[in-house]
Amino acid sequence: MKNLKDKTYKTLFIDAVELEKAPQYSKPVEMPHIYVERNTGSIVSGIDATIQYIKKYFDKDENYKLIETGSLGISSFDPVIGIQIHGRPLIFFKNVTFSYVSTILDSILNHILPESDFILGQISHTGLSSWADVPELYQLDIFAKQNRRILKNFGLIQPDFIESYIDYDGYKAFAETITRKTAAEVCNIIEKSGLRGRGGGAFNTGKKWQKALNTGKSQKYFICNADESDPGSFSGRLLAENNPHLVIEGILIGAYAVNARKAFIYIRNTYTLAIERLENALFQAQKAGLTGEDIFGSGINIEIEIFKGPGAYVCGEETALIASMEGERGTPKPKPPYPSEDGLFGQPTVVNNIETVCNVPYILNYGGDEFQKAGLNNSFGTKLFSISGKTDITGVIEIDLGTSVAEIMDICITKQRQPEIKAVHIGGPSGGFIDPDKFSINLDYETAIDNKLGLGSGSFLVLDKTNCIIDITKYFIKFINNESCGKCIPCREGSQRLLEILNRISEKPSEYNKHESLLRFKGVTQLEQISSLMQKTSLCGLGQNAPNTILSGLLRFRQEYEEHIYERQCEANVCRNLKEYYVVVDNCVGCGICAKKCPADAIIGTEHQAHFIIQDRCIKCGVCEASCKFNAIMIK
Amino acid sequence: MEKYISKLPDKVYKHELLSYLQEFQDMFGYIDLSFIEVLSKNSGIPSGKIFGITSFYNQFRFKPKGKFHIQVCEGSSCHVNAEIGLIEDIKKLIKADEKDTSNDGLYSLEIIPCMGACSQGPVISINGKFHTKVSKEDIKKIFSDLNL
Amino acid sequence: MTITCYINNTKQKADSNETILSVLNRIGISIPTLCNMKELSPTGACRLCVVEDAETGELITSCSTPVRENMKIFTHSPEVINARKTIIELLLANHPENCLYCDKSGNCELQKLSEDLNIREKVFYGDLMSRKTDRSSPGIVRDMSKCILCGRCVRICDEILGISAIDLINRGKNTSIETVFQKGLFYSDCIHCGLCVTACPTGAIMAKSSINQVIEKLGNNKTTKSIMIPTTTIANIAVSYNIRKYEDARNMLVAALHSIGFNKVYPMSLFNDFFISEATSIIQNRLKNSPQPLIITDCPAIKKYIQIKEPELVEFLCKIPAPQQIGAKILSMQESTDLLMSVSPCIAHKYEAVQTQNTNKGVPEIDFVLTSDELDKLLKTLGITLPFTRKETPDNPANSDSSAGVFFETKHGITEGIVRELFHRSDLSVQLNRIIEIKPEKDFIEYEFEINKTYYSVACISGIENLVKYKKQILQGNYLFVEVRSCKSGCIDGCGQKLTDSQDSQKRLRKTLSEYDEKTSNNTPGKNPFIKGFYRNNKLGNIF
Ligand SMILES: Cc1cc2nc3c(=O)[nH]c(=O)nc-3n(C[C@H](O)[C@H](O)[C@H](O)COP(=O)(O)O)c2cc1C
Ligand code: SF4
Ligand code: SF4
Ligand code: FES
Repeated sequence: MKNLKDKTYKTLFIDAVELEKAPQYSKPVEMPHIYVERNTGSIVSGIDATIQYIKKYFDKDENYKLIETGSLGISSFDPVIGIQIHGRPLIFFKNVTFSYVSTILDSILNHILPESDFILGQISHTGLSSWADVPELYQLDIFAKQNRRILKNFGLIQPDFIESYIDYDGYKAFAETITRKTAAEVCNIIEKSGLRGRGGGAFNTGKKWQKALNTGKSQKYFICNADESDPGSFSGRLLAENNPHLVIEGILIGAYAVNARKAFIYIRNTYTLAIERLENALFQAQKAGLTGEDIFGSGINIEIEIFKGPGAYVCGEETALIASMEGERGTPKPKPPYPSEDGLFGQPTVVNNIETVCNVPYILNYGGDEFQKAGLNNSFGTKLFSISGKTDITGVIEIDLGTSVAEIMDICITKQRQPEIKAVHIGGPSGGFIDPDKFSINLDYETAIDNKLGLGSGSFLVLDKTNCIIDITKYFIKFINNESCGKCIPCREGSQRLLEILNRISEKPSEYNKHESLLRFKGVTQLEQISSLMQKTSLCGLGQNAPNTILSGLLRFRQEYEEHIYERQCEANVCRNLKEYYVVVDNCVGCGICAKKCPADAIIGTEHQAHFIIQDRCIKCGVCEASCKFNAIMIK
Repeated sequence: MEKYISKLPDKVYKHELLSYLQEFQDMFGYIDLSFIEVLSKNSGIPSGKIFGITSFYNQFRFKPKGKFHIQVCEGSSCHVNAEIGLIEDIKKLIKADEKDTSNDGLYSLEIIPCMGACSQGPVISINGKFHTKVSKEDIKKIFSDLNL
Repeated sequence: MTITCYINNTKQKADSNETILSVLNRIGISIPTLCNMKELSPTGACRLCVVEDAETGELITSCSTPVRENMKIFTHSPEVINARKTIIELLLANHPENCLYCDKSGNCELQKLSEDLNIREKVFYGDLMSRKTDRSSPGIVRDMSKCILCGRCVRICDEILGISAIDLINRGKNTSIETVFQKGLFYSDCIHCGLCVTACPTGAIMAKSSINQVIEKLGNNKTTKSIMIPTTTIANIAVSYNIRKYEDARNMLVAALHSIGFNKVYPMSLFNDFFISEATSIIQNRLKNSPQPLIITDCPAIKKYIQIKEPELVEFLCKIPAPQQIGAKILSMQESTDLLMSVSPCIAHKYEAVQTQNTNKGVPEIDFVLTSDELDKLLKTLGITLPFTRKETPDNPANSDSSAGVFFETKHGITEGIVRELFHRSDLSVQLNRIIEIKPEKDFIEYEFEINKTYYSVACISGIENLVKYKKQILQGNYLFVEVRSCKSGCIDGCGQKLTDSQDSQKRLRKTLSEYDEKTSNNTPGKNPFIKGFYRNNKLGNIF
């Protein structure tokens, strides 16, 4: 090995990359720099049109620089643009759809602030004269309450330029690792840091690596699991799309640590932008000598390849993922043997979640002790949560493990609106509901499990009074039912039965016989019975964790179940097939009060004659029943 | 298509199966039986098995896409923000089910677990053009505005 | 390495490579299983075999988990029973409730499991399954609404055969067993070996029945009807109804079939003799030099298998058709019959009968092929009780046969017949009854013999999967010929002989045939008067 010890790591790349190309917001600029945050979310919100309008605005004037960066993480701000003009710090604007482009540019280029609705924040810097009355970006509640380690510099880094990543000290950890540390040392550091898998299993990552490192076989594989297909979880996409080099750096360190010469990124085929950027990043990394043969003269070869997952949630499970990479149906296999002994093509294979991988450079840069400064109990470090649902902001936030639900709520929803919140569903299909009384619980791995939750890959779905617990449960069970690989009976048939029972209790009986009512009433006990079977006997985590939603729902929202079953009442008025209102012709005097009150215009009839309810239009609000003085409206 | 199929290498390995299928799907929008048969011949894997493997995954469909390919997001955020029965309405409107193409060849439907625009839900996309925060009313209008 | 484990609190020795299930089987504790298959690696799909790990309280699948040192297992704790019971209850929730009309009733593993687990009431009510029934194949019906997705058929077709005519398709609630593009078995690579029929625990994959059509035809007094019955079918009847001797069973069956309206009843032994004679002629030509391998089989499944899986072996395949088709040709030379039927120990011959080379302008030479089981059922339906009270001799010309033709259908029966006939034609005075020793457990045997100072060797392969395994031997072994049979015991364990699918009855079946063979002096086709007469007018070796 060449003696690289005294070189600073950036000089390692000097031939391959032109670092001066990387724009630096902390330095003054001559011509205007326009940062556009381009990612899947912002594309849907129209960033591409915004970009077009920016180009149109400057037209032939080439005295500006357009910089395509990744996302800040909060997609409800999309489309976001940042502008830095001469002598001024970078200032960000939110929700800039194309129609506002010229207004904003008009004013800002003239050093005037536009309407405050658009202003997000600025990043002040010495030597640059700050915008008056504009908050500091990172002091905004939404960012200040986070602990952005992985997400550091997101929104500033240009995913398509390796220079930009390196400029923010990217690849430092890897360069130092490969030149100064042995594989066993790396495993050790990671083990000591207490980093646990972010993919759901929460297994100690360093231990897993050590196991693989110590198997005798020479051919080994490292797989980064980016097959994020859980509904409501989009942190993996955020990482891959907006900072692909971070992912690659993590993988390189991991592969080095377990002595794997070949690594894969298993990513869902629908993540087109992420794949594009990863491919580009891999190309650049190769050019910079970060992958390929004899990396930095260390004699070590590591290759990284992208595998596009053809789409099946269960392929996130590691044995299924491996099966699918081998060209099989993606069905899980019984463990043991574990992939770390007998994985891809029969060789020892380490599978790590993309977020786990992204934690690795941080640990190597700052050390395990620093890493452990965040976290609670045995859950160290930070965790990304994907916030969605009835919140004020939607997006990915990074907080310490062990943060309480209430604290997260404070980040994503205003205090006034919080009382409207009925529940949070955490952890996607493997997670469960939590009610406001329990918002004080801390989200570390152990406490979560004690409370019948799984953190899963960190989805945080906020529900308010207009959402029905049964409906959301049905949604997740339907998902499971579709996404179960269909191999084992408890999961395949169990989820089918669960769905049938849930359907039964959220609809009116089709025939009114004793048998059907009995089935409805038995529903709850059967839900529990099937859930317990699935937990205990399913082959893989999909089936084992699927009942969490049901069980936590039954535990915390039992009343809602009972209302559905016994009173055929859905408070949120989502389960509209629970009842059918109809007019008892004999009682109806044709006063027309109900028709006037009906908000859906579903009641018709001529005066003094019996009225009629158009079922297709009826939204089951019950106003008519309450308004009729003649008991002429009844429920079926 | 025949040209593409004839260019397939003589020896296809099992772990390459899915990438060939993906390439074919990307090019032609669906998987044709003839392709499975050639793959089977060149890889030595029985065609029944390749079909079994292919049908496991969301990405592959066995009917050509319609003139309008409709993608609907069924992520949890879109679900909680959507009007009740939105997806059913779309299915009824285009007379096609998931992974399916309507008989007149006009519409095909794909349900996506998450389109990555959770703040904009419910989201649908028609031939790549996004429509965000759609309501049942919007759907009617969007479809009646399509240039059939 | 030997280790100790505790099963239901009793100490047991076990090998560290063993699965829990194998230990339990060894010590006589029975555990229900659905997806587990001998010889194949466990998939852990059905979860029925769970046992309780006493230390963690977890339920683990015994079929896939290896035993550990000091492991403590409860095999029938309340929790275990409850889990197993719930699994079956889940399956029953949407299973078609028509056991009364199901062919499998009485033989069905699902029925048996629910009985054993004492499920006597419907617990869960699911939407009944509505999957398509595939009737495209002449031999197999797949009623997929009865399928419980244990995956046994798929694994047999894939792991044993490598054919994968059927596979699991889709995922989750839409999982089902299908052929490529759901076109149906007939249009798939299915070789009609019937292994999936044998593997299926429920009535989802069954032999196709033609009983009702046959009954209708039998009712027509104006037509003439003939039937060919294989010797394994006769032996099957003999064993099932405790008839000691082959010839008694044969003659009872002949009488019984006459009595239900068949004008002519022909045991297959005569046509087996023809097969042997023809094959021997081909081989006689090879005695001087046998440049190429030669594969001899009467099994249509093997032939199709070779076409699909091992096309390079096709040129070595002996072209002689199976005895039932030989029969159809010979009989058509003799006299005409309105309806010609045949019985077969398996479903492959149902398929063979409709293959184009065996049809005349699209009309099959043989009108119906029944399985042995169907024949049994037909007799029952028509009020015949076995053992039958009367005996009659087979009809001309099949009243003339050799015992080699009778023995032909069991394992190495073809080889035995051909070698005898070779000796016979070479005028060697050898003891002809039982030349090759029967080794029921061997999948591959070689036999060496001498004619005129030259030594020859032949080989027999049983079990379709062993064709690939011993392919090298076929190609390089320098054998005079190789006999290949797709079922392990020749035709005895064909999928159409459910009546006698236990190891024990197969043994008895084999015994019935070989006892007859051993005491009969007409022991090779060359001594069969009809054959002798026939070849006086037709040249050996080229009638087919
Ligand atoms: C049904 C199911 C789905 C899963 N999906 C994912 C996924 O999308 N991404 C992921 O990283 N891990 C997923 N996992 C967890 C993986 O099996 C595996 O534990 C993980 O990739 C290991 O990485 P970690 O140790 O870094 O968490 C899933 C597990 C199950 C049972
Ligand atoms: S638990 Fe569900 S997903 Fe997992 S193996 Fe069983 S059927 Fe497949
Ligand atoms: S058809 Fe029979 S053997 Fe095949 S999976 Fe279904 S139940 Fe099992
Ligand atoms: S026999 Fe063990 S899981 Fe089926």
